[in-house]
Amino acid sequence: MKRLLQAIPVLLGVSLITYLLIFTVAANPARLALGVRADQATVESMQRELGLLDPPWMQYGRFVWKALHGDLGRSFSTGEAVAPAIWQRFPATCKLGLLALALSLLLGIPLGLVSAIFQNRWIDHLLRVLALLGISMPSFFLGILLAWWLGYVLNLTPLSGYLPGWEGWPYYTLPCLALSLGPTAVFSRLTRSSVLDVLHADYILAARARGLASWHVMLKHVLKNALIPVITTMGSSLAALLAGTFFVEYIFNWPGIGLLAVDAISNYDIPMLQGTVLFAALLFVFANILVDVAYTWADPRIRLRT
Amino acid sequence: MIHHKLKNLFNTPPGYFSGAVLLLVCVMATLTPWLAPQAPNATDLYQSLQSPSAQHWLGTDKFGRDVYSRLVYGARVTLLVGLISQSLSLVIGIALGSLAGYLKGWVDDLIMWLINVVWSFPALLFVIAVTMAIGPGIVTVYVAVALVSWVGVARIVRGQFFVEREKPYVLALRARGATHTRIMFRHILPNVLSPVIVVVSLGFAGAIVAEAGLSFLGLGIQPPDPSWGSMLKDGYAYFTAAPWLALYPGLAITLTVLAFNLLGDRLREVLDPKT
Repeated sequence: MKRLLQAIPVLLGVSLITYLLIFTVAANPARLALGVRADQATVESMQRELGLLDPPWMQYGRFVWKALHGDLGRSFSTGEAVAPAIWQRFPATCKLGLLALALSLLLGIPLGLVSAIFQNRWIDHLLRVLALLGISMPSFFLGILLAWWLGYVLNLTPLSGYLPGWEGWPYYTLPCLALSLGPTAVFSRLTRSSVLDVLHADYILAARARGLASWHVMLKHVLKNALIPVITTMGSSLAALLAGTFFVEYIFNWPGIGLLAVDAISNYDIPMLQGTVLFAALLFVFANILVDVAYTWADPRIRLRT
Repeated sequence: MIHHKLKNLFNTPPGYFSGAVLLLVCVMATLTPWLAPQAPNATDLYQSLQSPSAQHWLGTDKFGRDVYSRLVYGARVTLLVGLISQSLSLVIGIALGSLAGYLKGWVDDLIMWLINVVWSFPALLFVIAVTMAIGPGIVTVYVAVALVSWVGVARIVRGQFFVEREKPYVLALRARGATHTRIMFRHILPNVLSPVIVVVSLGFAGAIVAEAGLSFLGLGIQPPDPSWGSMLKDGYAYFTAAPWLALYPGLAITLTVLAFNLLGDRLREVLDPKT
């Protein structure tokens, strides 16, 4: 609860920045919305209607007030309300993002564990090079490579698109792979380094001395403790995932929030972009709070202190 | 002391690799006109979408422009974006970070609030938003990337200042009548720089990805000027018919980013007093 209250000033700042975005962009959003051929009277009446002639702080106050009531304005290019449009696109992004997150945890943690167990052997070197390569390769390049190789050359998966329901699962393959490589690499690096830290702790030596089987020590004692730092840094991986959806959804024509935002960029549709950026930031803040909660739950030392 | 440690920087196999890649990119960016056989924007529609050959080493794009020449010119953009954005972010980050860490109190609260707000945006989204606000172009890319990456520098500097300001030498300097500015910048700052170097080296990698991403969305370098990101965007439209168009700029981005990430990792190992 305290954590939620702490988020309030940050959220105000976030809304201020997204608001400033519209304010600086367009000296005259009404002109932008109506086009160059609209006459001055129409522009002025729209300005009055949107309250653009009021002082900036009043406009900001109104923006926050409306946003709190779920009103993010209307799109410049299509005229549809921004908030419902985002809400309607959210499930597609959410499914893709959660699937990619699950995949990267399922792959990254075991790979990091293997890397740590065989520290400085060839498999460790190979996995570390691959992990760094995974971090360095932008999702938009990986997406194109995968589409070309798996989709076009080998013809295994559909190139792009989306189908709701179970028959749509082949469409998940490419975007999910493209999105999860980066986080997978991050998780494997983190798991490796934190497993190595834990391996040298005294209580592991004690567990070994008690004659526990090494796989038992590894899973029950080492991995359990080593995962705590992995959980805490999940927040930054989520950021990478969220930003990644912008490119991946664009490349694979995935009807989520990312594609909505990219379309807004190319149409210069400020309210829509503002809405998606605000929504992504809110999602990110909320996810970080969840991570904090998970962290206190996983680490009894912190739970006891508060 | 620092350059004594830096002697071993490129002494490992990953070190050779990152050194070689960075040297190559620097050479491409400085000797550009001599390395590129053609002007980057010279079109030749008879030669459009040619696969790699002796005449066009890396093939040609839809306007018949030489991909290799454009790649060489793109190296300039990549390196400039890294250099300028990271210099800007160093200036902002060190100024705000040292003020917050040294003065504490409400100044620290205010700067921490700013840091937390910027950190609440996924970095690339923030860059996109700023770019939309200022309008696309190369200068925008410098500014937008700097406006995000100063946060990493500021956090490190602030944390280090917290530790350093309590040490006896600061008290001694105070007693001797040294001014606060002098203590901050002449005495404390040099002691906190090594972790900052690591952050900046990783920031270079981030800046390159950000530029590529922005240009990929059409918000960065404007056509017809070449950048690796915009070449990748052009290549994406033809990835079935002419895969080399996306492959080479994509590889260039990945390898350069990899080189900076390796450098950052290695710097951390070399500069970390624990190792």
